[in-house]
Amino acid sequence: MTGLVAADRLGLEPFLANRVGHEPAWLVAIRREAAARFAERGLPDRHLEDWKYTSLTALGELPLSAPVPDLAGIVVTPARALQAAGLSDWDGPVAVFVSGRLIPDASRLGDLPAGIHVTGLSDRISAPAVADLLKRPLRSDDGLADLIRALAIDGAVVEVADRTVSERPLLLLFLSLPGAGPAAVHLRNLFLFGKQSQVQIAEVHAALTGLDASGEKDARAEGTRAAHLSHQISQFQIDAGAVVTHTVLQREDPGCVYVGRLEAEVGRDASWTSNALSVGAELARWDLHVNLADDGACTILNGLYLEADRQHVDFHTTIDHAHPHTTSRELYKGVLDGSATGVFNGKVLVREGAIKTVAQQTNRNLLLSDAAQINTKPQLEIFADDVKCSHGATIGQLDAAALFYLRSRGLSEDDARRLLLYAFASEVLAFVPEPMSRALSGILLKRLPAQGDFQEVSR
Amino acid sequence: MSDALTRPPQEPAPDAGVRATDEGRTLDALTSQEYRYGFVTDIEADTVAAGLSEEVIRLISAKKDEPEWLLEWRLSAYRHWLTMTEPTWQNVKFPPIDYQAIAYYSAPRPRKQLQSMDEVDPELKRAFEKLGVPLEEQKIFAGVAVDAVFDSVSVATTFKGKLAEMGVIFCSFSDAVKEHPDLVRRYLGSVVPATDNFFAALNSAVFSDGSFCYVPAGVRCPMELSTYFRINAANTGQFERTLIVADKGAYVSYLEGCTAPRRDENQLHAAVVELVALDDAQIKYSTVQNWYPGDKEGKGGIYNFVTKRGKAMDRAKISWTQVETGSAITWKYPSVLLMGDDSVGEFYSVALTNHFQQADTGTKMIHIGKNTRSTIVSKGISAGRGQQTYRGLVRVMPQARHARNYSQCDSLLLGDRCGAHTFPYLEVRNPTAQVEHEASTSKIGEDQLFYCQQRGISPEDAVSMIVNGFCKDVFRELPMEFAVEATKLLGLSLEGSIG
Repeated sequence: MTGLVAADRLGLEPFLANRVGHEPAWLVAIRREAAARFAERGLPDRHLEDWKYTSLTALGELPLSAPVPDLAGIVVTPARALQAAGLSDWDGPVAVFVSGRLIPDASRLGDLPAGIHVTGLSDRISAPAVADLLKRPLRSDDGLADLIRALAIDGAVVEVADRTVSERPLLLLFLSLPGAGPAAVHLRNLFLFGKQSQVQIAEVHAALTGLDASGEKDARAEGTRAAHLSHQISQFQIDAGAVVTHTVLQREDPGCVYVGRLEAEVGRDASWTSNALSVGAELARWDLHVNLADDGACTILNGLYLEADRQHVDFHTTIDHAHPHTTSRELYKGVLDGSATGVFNGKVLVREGAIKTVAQQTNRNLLLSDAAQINTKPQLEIFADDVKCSHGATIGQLDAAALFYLRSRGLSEDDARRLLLYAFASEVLAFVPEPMSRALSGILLKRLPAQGDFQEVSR
Repeated sequence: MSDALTRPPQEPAPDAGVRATDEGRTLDALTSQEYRYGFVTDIEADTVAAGLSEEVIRLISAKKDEPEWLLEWRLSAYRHWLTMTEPTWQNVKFPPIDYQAIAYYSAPRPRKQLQSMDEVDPELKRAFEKLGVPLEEQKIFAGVAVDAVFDSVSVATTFKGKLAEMGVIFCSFSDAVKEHPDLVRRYLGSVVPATDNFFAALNSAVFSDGSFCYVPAGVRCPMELSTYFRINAANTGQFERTLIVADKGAYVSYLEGCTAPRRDENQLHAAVVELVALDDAQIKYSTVQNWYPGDKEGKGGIYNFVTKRGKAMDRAKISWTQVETGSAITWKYPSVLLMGDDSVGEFYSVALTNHFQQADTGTKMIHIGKNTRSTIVSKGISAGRGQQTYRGLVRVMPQARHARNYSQCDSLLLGDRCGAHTFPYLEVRNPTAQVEHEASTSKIGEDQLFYCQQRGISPEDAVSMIVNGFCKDVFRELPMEFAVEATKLLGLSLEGSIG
């Protein structure tokens, strides 16, 4: 891609002109620098090793620039937002973002536990901690990251004070407006966890249109071009001793290209657990980058992807064991049906001196149809000797013996398959804390490939 | 026994630390071990001046009295090579290679046409004796026929007669071109095309000799065949080419061993090995690679950039076993194209990097036929400042129903300045495939060491025992003679393994 085309596509000058005056000068300078960098290298293509199996051509000629969304006339209630997310029963605190903009009327933030603050990024830029994080270079370094740095004007900022302990999860809903909203949404979410805090965050990314199963299918069958891009980078700063669980469910509409990047800095003896569940979008790309930045830091990454039709999902994880006595554990499982394609690339880097590192990684995949494909690449790079690192990857089908056993107990072929698939998926769900896990398993059950009513089987 | 192939030379006398290989061996003594094959043989060599051009290729071809088609093949490879750029994705680092500074042909100058073993140049024979390949005492080989390649020209081939009785052709590549042009023409480049990759194209343009083996249909080759490579002359690259064809139902086991003199410059070794296993045939290819690894500061040593690939037709089996202890840089991926239904591919590897050695090695298993199976067992040992990478590809094509793969790659780290890296690519396009991959990286367990010591075994012996146990899965795939040597070689190459 030539620089000219890239710059045009960005619609940059009017955008930047618009930002001056709205934002501090340093932020506009970052945007200019990032836009110039993007003009140089454009979107990542398959010549880059990290994009070897994922092509962004689905974005086609989609305008990538992000005009400030015009949300006038869009009325969202908490009930409608939760329904779009598939979590109508949710009664906990919820923050609703439409096209990245926090909608207080749709949110229920009144009953947030003391010590937890949720704001929109554009309202919080002046806070020193937020500004610091925005100035820091991103771990992701490619054309897409440039777009975030150049164009993201909104997103969520979650700040948790030191020693805040809450058992009630905070739910963040990110709703896109296919057809009605901007074609591309670039968000920057910042999460700051104070020392020894213990909190759970859950995110759902969905479309605000009706999401019944039949509609989902039709829309996917029609288009080969993506209708919109949902693009975000979330940065997590986890201070010493904090224990954070973060769960994301991505169930965007079928015309969506979803790019979700999570970058975590985990401090001394702190722990960050990420559960990433990917079921929607035509193309979903996830990058998780965890920096175990001090002694005793720990991370647990779990992922589940259920893909069908022509969906494509790509998980890239990087864990940087930069300090001694750090621990990581990864479990990613996928079910691929139709002509879906999946990619898993799990990189574990153990730096020189990071002794007593323990790293364990597992990737398991089920291929259910002839046209489904999986490319998996675990990757260990180890520069220290006193470590225990292992990884395993498997690709296969449902166990014929297990199927036979269930059939011999009188289950129909369909039910038997669904039961086994549910069992396969539930290993990951087990890491999601209640009540999120119950809500999620309901959604996932509906997404499992076979037809019919599952919930009965699962009970 | 044929341990001659990698046996330390009889003279100069081994130093005390090594003689006591079996009892009381200490790793400290091993640490002081110098490369034992680093002598230079002063033989008048017929060397083409350094540089690469169409003229040089024509000259090589003319010197070897080659037919026109082969010259054309070389030239087209060269022209293609000119359009290629050197790959940069590998996980090894080296200064840029000046391809014009390499002499592409070096042969011991023949004093006269060789008629029998007795006529082999005495200097040359002494060199081989130092290497432990006593050509004149064929009995010592105990059933191993050797095609010795000294620099680029095959000097003498033993056991040719006995093999000929069975219809097995085993000769130098140049002889094969002259005597069996049809076979060579049919299979040359059929597995590794001349345009395959940068180094294969270079090899195709300038290869000077190598080995050729053809086992006719239904014949089980009665002995293990062996080639012994040695780079002698300075500033020469060795570009040999090996082609092994096992016709339907045939079986052959092939051994390859390598050493090179000690020099301060780096030398390039870019070989190509092609294996063709027709229906029901089996080829077992074992390598013990002990090229000069460079000195303790990482100066000198061989760049071992080799393309090895086999093609297995219906029910055929190709098995690669390699023990890689030498070379400054080892960069190769012995691969199997599982073309035929029910074909089998295997890869067993032990790679050791010490001092400043680097290795980026592994395998590719391409499942194309139905019911194809592959097994990968890779053991990497990293010591000193060695950097070791396992890079492997398992690809199951859409039509390859019921493919099965099991991969295991383990790394052992000895010392805190070395590195071990794993890059396995699994690409599955068929739902009936069963693909499993496991890898682990660790140092020697303190509990294991403690257990051994508590039974009265010294720490050094315990380490050596544990390392050998670690490699056992691979060593037991080696022919017996090689397995013994590989164990010793590993001991020699390990140094400073106790922190």
